[in-house]
Formats: sequence, structure tokens, C-alpha cells
Amino acid sequence: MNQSQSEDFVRYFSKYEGNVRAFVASQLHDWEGVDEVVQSASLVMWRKFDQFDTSGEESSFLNWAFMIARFEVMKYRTSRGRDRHVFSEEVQELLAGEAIEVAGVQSERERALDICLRQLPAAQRELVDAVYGKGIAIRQVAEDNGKSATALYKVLARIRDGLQQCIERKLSHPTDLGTT
Amino acid sequence: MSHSEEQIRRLANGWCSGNLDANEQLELEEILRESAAARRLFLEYRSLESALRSRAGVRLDDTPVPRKTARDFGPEAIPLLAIAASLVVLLLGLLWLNHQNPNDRTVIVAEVIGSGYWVDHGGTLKPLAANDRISGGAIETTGAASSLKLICQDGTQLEIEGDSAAVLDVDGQKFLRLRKGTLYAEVVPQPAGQPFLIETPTAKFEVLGTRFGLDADNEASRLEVNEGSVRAIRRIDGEAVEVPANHAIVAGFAAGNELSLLPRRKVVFGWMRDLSMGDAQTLGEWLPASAGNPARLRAKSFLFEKGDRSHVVHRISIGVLHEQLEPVRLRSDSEVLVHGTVTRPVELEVMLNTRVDGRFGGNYFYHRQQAQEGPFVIRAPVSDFGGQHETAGAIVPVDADLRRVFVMTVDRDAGLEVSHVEIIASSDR
Repeated sequence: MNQSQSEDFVRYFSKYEGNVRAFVASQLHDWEGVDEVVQSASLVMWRKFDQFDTSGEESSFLNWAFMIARFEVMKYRTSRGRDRHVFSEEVQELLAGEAIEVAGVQSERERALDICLRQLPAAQRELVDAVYGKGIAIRQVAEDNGKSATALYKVLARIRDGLQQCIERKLSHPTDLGTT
Repeated sequence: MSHSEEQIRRLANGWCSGNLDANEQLELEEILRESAAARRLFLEYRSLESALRSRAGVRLDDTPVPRKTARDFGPEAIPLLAIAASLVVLLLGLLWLNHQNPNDRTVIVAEVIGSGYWVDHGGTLKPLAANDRISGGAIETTGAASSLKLICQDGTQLEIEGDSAAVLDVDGQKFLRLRKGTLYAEVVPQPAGQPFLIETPTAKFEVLGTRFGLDADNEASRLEVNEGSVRAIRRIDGEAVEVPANHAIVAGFAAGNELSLLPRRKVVFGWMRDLSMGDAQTLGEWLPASAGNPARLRAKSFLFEKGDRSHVVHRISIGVLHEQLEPVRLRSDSEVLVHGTVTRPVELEVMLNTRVDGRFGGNYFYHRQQAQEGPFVIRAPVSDFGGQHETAGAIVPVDADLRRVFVMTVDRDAGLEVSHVEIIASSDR
């Protein structure tokens, strides 16, 4: 790969890493697996990037990246065997087909998420910050706040619901007036 | 979908947090097999979880997190850290290859809300979108609810919001002229002897590395420093002062006196503005008290265009920052009170522009208050305000500091006049 191709790869991958991660996350339950597959898929993309036609539509990178990620997901599943969180082959196939469309707009979703997070009340923002931003285990956050882990899981579930619905509204009104 | 949306949300949410039992797992699988809409919602929850998890190490207020060691994360996190670290090393190596040009003048547009424009080197006005790359030039945001976030190659972040106009030069020593509007900046340490220079109509600022907010118009500039320090120079007389963290200055036309440092004070929860003292920090036509009418602001019209849609907005606006040193904090029991008149029935909207920790904190709308001809009073709890593009009451502006209040009608001129705006807190804490 020459210098120009290296630069192109960095540009594409920086821009679409979130989409690829979301695509992989839609196929796997465990997050260690998601990290592992994203890493292996990125290395495969890097090695094969000279086979990718950069003269076409930029969005074709996503289709190419999803195809590689899908293959890496299958390899990972084969190596791990079945656990109870894995859906049947039929449901996996259905999800994989539709995940491309959902993960394709992950950048927009992340921008909407940024705005929605800013609008959370302070206490909820701090909880999300602790669990996701700082990576503190929920049981630890619960201990620090004198609450049960179960109660915090419920609060987090409500926050997740609120964020998801906030994102849905933002994505459904991309050209809303929203200004004065 | 044949299953209730609530049921699907509950199961998708539970799957993301690993809290489904075997029966619920089977129930979810059955629903996913049958319903495309359920699959879509499930995938959206999963992508939300992915986006949240990819924020590791990023605080929601975007301030740096104290660096952790593997010991802080616990043994179960070490493989994850190793994977993440190797990916980062790979990408940093690639980025190093990519960024060997020390004169790189690219500025990345990280976020656009509302309308943002850039004039390119050929003089063409271009609407900006997230992920655009520009190389300095003239930048504008139009409309009170618009904002634009830019990231320079050295990591310096600039947020421009509201009706703002600026010229940015990142070729060598950075320079920004803020002709009008609002800037929030997080400036990384600049090379020795080459501070980031910022000019407004009334002041100049030298920035070596800090976080600050700046409001400017033709009459005054208000600088509020959150971290580090900024050297401020009043243009009319050259009076200069070093502004430390948690202090502000206002530089206007008043020459000869000291450029006073104003310490940031504790927040207040109540605020009131009538128009009897004049039109400072307002938008609209100011009318003095006469014939039994109080002093008031008459709405001015503003054409807003986005894409192929145009709207005429008739609005007034009252600012909080310049006239009040204490931030006005909104809380769950705050209410917004507006007195005014209209000359024909119309739907009124109120918008609160806020800040959180000195930076843009979002715009919140109270929609569709129907007013009849004559005087009106709007009394709305902040819990009835919703975020931009939101339906009212979804997510509220609690714990944010109020910066401006807008009252407006859209596409219908009803002779809107406002005489009094107030934030009422039912009890002090």
C-alpha cells in the first residue's frame, strides 16, 4: 500500500469505525467479542485495502467494510460455539441483513446521541458518565451511592429508553425548523 | 407490529444489558423472527449501546478524565484494554503517516445544528455539514438555535452559536475575528510566542491554552474564562488585563477606567427583566412606556432558510449574560413567565438558550401557546420545555444556566410585543 492509499484508509476508517462497530455489535452479544472482531476486521481491511476501489462512491467503503466484518463475525462465532444469548441462524441472518441499514447511519445516530446526552438531567448524566465514560462497574457505582445494583440497572434501562426515543425523534426530524 | 412496542423496547433493552432470562430470550427471538419493525428497533437499541460504550474515557462534559491504570479497571478489563490499546496503536501509527505535514490547515466540522455556512476561497457560500473539512475562511451561523463545532488539527475546539459571524485563519499562528455572536473555545497549548489571537469589534484576546466563552457585538465583548487564563486588551484605549479562571471581563467603549475582573459568582434561581431600563442585550424594536403601555420590545422579522424550506420568524429576544453576573440556573421547579400583547390570534413559541459549564447547553422549546388578540401571559414550567426537535417535556433544561429567552411566532406576523420576562423559582435551595 502506498502513502496515498494509507491516507485514504485512515480517512475512511476514522470516519466509519463507529458504523463498523455498530454493525458488529448488532451480530454479537458479548462486548469482548465486538472489540476482538472490530480489531481483526480492521486489520483485514488494512491488508486488503489496495483491492478496494477508492474511485467510486465513498459509501461503498461501508458495504465493503460490513462484508469483511460479517465474515469476521462468522469466524468468531464458529470459534466460540453457542451461548444462550445467540439467536438461531434464521434470526441472525434476518438481523444481519437489516443491520447494514441501521449501522449505515451510525454517525448520525452518534451525533444525535451527543445532543441527547447533553440534555439529560445532571444525576442521569453522572450515572451514564460513570458507567460508560469512566467504565466503573455498576455494582461499584451502586455501592458508592448506597443503592442496589438492581435498582441502578433499572435506572440505566430507563435512561437508555429515553436516549433511544430522543434519538428516534431527532433522526425523524432532520430538517425540522429548530431555529429562530 | 403485532407485539406491543413497549414489550419490544423492554426486551431489546434487557438484552443489551444482559438481563434477560431464558424465557424472555426465547420471547425476544420469536418476536424478532416475526417482525421487521421489531428487528429494526432491536438493532437501534444495540447500536445505541455500541455508541455509548465507544465513549469510554470520554466524559459527557468533554473534560479529560484522570488517566487510569489497568489496576483501576480490575483484572477482567485487562484483555479489553489490551485490544483497545493495540487498535489505538495501529490507528495512531496510520494517523502519524497521514499527518506528517506540519502546515496542515484543515479544520474538521464536527457538528452542525441548524444552519452553518462557510465562504470558500473562491467566494462561494456553502452550507456546512458534519465531517466537512474546511481550511479557514468566513464562517457564519444563522438563527438563535444554530451552532457549529470545529476541530483544528492540533485538537483546538471552537463552538460558534446563534447569529454569529467569524473569520478564521489557521495558517500558522491561529487568528479568529468574531464580528458578532458567541464563541466557546477549548484551545490546546499553542507554540511559544504564537498565541491564538481573537479579535472582536471592541477587544483583542491572546490565548495560549485554555477554556473560555466569548460573546461579542458592536458595543461590547464579554469574556468568561473557565480554565487557564486569557490576556484581554480593550481596543478603544489599549487597557489590558490577564483574565484568570472563573473570572469574566466586559470590554466596551468606556475608556479610561480599569478593565475590571469580575469573579464568577454563585448561581441564582430567579431573574426578571422588564424593558423600562432600555434595550441592552435585546433583539427587537424597543418602545418606551407611553399611554398606559409599559416599555416593551416589538418583534422583528427574520427569514430563516434551510434546504428548500423558508420560514419568516417574528421574534424578540432578551439576553441574560451581559447584564447579570450571576448565572441564572434553571431547576425542576423553575417557571418561565412572559407578559405581552398580540394584535391577532396566533400560536406563540418560547425558546430558552442555555449553557452548561460555560459551553452551549442546548435550546429548549415551549410550543404552541395559543394567544388571542390583546394581552397574553405565558406561565410555563421548565419541565414543559423540550430539547431541539423534541416534543415538549421529553428532556428538560434542568441544571442548565439560562443565556437568552426568545418569544416568537412563525410564518404569521401578529404584532408580537413583550414587556416582561421572568424566571420564577418557587423556593430557594
